[in-house]
Amino acid sequence: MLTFTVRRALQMIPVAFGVTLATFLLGQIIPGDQAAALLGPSSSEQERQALREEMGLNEPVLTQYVTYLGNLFTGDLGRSLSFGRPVMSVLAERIANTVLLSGTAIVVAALLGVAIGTWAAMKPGSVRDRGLTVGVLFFNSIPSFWFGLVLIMTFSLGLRLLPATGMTSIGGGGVVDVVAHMVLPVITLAAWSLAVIARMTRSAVLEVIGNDYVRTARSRGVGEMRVVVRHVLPNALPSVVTVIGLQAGFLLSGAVLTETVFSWPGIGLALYQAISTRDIPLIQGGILLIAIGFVLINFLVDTLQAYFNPKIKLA
Amino acid sequence: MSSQALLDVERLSVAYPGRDRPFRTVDDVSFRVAPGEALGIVGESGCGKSQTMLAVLRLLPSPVADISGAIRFGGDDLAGIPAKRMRAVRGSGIGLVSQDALSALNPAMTIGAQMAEPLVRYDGMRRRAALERCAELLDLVGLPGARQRLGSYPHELSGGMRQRVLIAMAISRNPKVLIADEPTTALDVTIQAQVLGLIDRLRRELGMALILISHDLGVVAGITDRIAVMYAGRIVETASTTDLFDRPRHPYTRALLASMPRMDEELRERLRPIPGLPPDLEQPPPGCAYHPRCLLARAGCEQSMPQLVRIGAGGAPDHRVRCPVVLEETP
Ligand SMILES: Nc1ncnc2c1ncn2[C@@H]1O[C@H](COP(=O)(O)OP(=O)(O)O)[C@@H](O)[C@H]1O
Ligand code: SF4
Ligand SMILES: [Mg+2]
Repeated sequence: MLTFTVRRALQMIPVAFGVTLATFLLGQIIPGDQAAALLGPSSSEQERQALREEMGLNEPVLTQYVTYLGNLFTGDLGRSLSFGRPVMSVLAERIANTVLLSGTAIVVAALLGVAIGTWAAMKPGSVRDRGLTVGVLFFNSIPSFWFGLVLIMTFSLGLRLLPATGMTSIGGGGVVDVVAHMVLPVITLAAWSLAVIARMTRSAVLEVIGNDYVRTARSRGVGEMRVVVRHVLPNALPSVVTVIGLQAGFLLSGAVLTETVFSWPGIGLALYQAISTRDIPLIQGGILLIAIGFVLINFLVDTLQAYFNPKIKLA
Repeated sequence: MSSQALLDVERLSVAYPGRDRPFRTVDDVSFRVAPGEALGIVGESGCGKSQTMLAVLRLLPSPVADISGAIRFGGDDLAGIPAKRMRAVRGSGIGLVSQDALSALNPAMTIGAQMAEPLVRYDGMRRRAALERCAELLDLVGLPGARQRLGSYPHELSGGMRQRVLIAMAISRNPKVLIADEPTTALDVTIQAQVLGLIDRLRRELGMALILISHDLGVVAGITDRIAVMYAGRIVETASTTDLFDRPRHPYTRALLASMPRMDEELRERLRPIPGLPPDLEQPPPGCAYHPRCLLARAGCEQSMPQLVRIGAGGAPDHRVRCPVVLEETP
């Protein structure tokens, strides 16, 4: 298990380099003159040229990439044009908010999805099982921003039960206030993944529950609930974990839309603002961060996967 | 033979909805097992042997499979008792060894964990005491290095070892009846003999009744008191083991015997497999289901299903056969 984890961790290094290369090239491809954007429309060509020289924009691409990497290692992601501050500080103050929102959403989606999927699979063809199929179809066919808007109209504007935007009320704060602000965005963000996870769990459980060893457990008098928890789920979860991992990554990118709809002060909202103002360093930084998140989630999933598989666990 | 049956199955049938119309995988099957007795159930693959045993334990997919008939065990009719009482019968009343030992063990649990589970959960044993008992059981079934094996996963054991583990699991809660469903089919010939010897020994030592299922008459020959031969979901002949081998009556039983490999050279020449294939249970042939393959078949055979009737009133105890044609023979 340890050697597997270490080997898998080492594999992240080349991937991480690939990711930095991609975000770097992104900066090269996006049209627009960074110097002009920084100095404003009234600047002279001379001033711009001087700034380009200073920023190293005239160097060969390879040199620029090496410089970019070097800066990355010192935590320097450049300066955000729209915020007028280092990208690092913009992202740093927001990352916790995004992790809070997407983390809660994936935990909710995973726990509820596994529970509902298992519950439905225990009685295939029953009313609850067919209900699940319909629910999955519904939540996987509505766009999440639309669902978010419907939630806002119903629960904030209509029933006035929950706040619609931001993370805290003005002059508010405190745990209860933040939780109240989280309810709608978490539901919006979790709904899609929850449906996918529930469906996957259902089919994984159905596949495992027909196995001979499940019958062996039953033939020895083990109760149905325990059969499911102890014998079925541990063998069904590896394939579910893969899906949860994919959904976690997916959810991270979905956060851009959800954070924007709910004005949630996270990376997603910053990225949205950066895109609308062509704030290239911030776009690069935000995307880099999300991509690194993806890589870490994948690592976590593979490690968990190995943990569930005794053949790897022992190695 | 004791008259007091421990397990008394009467007119058991298992029906499935089927594509066009319902069909039966088990049809009107009756048998009894006295305490300590060994019954063999024999028939070609797909004839409903496993279905019968799974119906007894109520392990068939419900509500898809429709079970009818009576399954009397320990004063109860298992067909009618609530799920909770049924659970108490499984393992501690009737134990099951299923045929494929690799797929019958949970790949994600250690041998010790899966063996000890019901002992801790339902028999009130402390974990440590339960594991101690599991080690003893593994010792009893002759697993080398029993104690160390508690921490192994199934994939670390050989086929023969896994089958021994499965047997140890099946007897761990002291069942009164042990059902062994083709326990040796997946094993090499030498290991087969060892495992059969083990099952026979355990039955004697622990005083269990045994239902041994096989597609091979040779497997059940040495260790059973009685044998029931099944064809297409029905019992076609049942007799004491010696009687069945000495005076087989049903054409199918005779064909099975003729297809048995023997050491005797002369007989080997005559060894022949039964021509044709067993019927599709969804569309069984009309009348006697064996008639398309039967050497004695005559005009009436495809018209009505023969009854299982008792023969040989003088001498042999309870020998029954489902074939009017052979009944006319003078033995
Ligand atoms: N769930 C099921 N639905 C329909 N038919 C089944 C089902 N399970 C088993 N059968 C059929 O029952 C027949 C008998 O199976 P089985 O009892 O396993 O035979 P065997 O004598 O080899 O143990 C087979 O033809 C099989 O196709
Ligand atoms: S009833 Fe007819 S077909 Fe069936 S076993 Fe007897 S002789 Fe053969
Ligand atoms: Mg079978």
